[in-house]
Amino acid sequence: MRFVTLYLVLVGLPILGVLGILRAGQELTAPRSVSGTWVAETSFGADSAGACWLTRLGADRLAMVVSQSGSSLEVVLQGQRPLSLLGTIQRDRLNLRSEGQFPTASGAAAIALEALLGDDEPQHLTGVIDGGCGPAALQASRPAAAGGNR
Amino acid sequence: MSAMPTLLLQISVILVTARLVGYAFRRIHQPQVMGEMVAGILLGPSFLGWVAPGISAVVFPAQSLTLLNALAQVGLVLFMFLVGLELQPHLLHERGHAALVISHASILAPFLLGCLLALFLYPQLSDDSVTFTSFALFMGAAMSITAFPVLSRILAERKLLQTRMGTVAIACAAVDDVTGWCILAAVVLLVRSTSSANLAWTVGGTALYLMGMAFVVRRLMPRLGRFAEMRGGITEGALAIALVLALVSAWATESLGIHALFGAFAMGVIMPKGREFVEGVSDKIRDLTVVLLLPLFFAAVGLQTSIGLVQGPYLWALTALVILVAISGKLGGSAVAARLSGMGPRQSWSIGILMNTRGLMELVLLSIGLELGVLSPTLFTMLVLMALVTTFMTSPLLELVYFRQFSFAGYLRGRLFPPAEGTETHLPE
Repeated sequence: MRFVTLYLVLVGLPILGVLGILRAGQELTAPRSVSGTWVAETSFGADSAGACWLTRLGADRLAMVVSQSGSSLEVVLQGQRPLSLLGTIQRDRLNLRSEGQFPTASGAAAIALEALLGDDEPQHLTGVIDGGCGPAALQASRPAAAGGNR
Repeated sequence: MSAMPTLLLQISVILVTARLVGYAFRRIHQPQVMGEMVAGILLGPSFLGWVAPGISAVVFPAQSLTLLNALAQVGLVLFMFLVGLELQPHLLHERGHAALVISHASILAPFLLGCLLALFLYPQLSDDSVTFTSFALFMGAAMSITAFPVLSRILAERKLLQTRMGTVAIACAAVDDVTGWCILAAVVLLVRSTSSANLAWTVGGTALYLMGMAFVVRRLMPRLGRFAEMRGGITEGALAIALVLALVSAWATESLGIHALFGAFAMGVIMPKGREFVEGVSDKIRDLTVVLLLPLFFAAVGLQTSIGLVQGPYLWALTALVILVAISGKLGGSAVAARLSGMGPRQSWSIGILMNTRGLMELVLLSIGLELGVLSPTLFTMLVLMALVTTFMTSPLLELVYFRQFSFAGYLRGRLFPPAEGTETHLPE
């Protein structure tokens, strides 16, 4: 009898607790997912600022790989000379900056990328990348469901 | 550099580092596997990529890691087959009421705390592509796992297997292992099933697979045992059959959408359990797997672990919280359950300490979580640190509580300058 009681307390109660937590957790929301590879529209690079960015990265087309932990983001702009940016996502807004300064024609500048995330599938974002080459408008999209349920 | 020379260089560097760090850890009375886990971290962005990024880029260029990861996965499949093979089913049957209560409580207490922690971590370290249910169940499983292979060797080398504490601990660890992998399989199924058709395929296929294993393959196993017996041991033919069965089973579960490792583990569990068969197969596979392939897995984990992601006091505080919850749930839960079941305080705490050893099995589970996308890179790093801490603390804590001979200075002195052979008990690899 003692072991039955003990079993109910040590095993039964935790099972009820787990079920309660799973129910309570349904109300929680996590930051929007942006992890994966984003590819810019082919129009990026048509103007002088865009072309300057592509030359600087050593890429034919702008692509960025986003690694996400909650609201913290690490973005690598791909190319022969990749650039790494750190930042956050707050609701639909991405704010990213390079950790250091990079040489420009007029000295050095930090690189910043600000973008808004769209709601439709496949996901897209619209923003501006600035620093060194001057501001360049950016539109990029990400294939749906990149890996697992991400 | 083309793929093959890079791969050969990588394997050489990984093996040398794993052996050296493993040796250093053995000197301080830690399991070899602990050193190899640390060696993997040292080769990744947390150390080599940080102090010598140029060398890291030459030895481990990002585009070369596919081959290395594939080899590491093969190593894991073989290792999980060995874990299943060496698991004795009689351990899963209760050894008295105490073992039953302790084994179930030692899973559910940390599982509950892991789910509770998920309430706090989900909004901060996950994203909306992961459902809370998947995240919470995974955190629960991550907190509940026990490194059965490490634990059984610690008990064997400490000559504790025949003690009451040893028999209860080994039975609980066996139950934990099987239950932990079942829970994980369910989580993987939940995460990977993106549509109801997909879910139906996975659930239906898994049910068929399990029935096939239980009612068809299992019944054929005694023939494999007799086949080996008639030839006076494990011949190359018998070994090939065992390996093919493990690989086909791994392929089946991977195709069904619940990871390859489950298939390998399940095939190991239903293999013939005669001592000669188990030891024969194990002897032939173990060395290559443990010495060559597992260090590749540790390196693959290390290359994905970036301690730099845990930036700032807040994230370090979260890491400390994760470790505290893991220890409270597993060590505390097991110890309290053992005490309430009537075991003495020293035995109860020793069981808790042993059950808290997560080791390699935790890394296997975490790598699955990262691959599925349930764990973000930062949370993955935090949990890897938790696995290292909980594995590292086992040996000194066991000495402190069970053998009552602990002083940290004495502990280090004794490990660095051990007394003559035969005067000291050694912890296992």
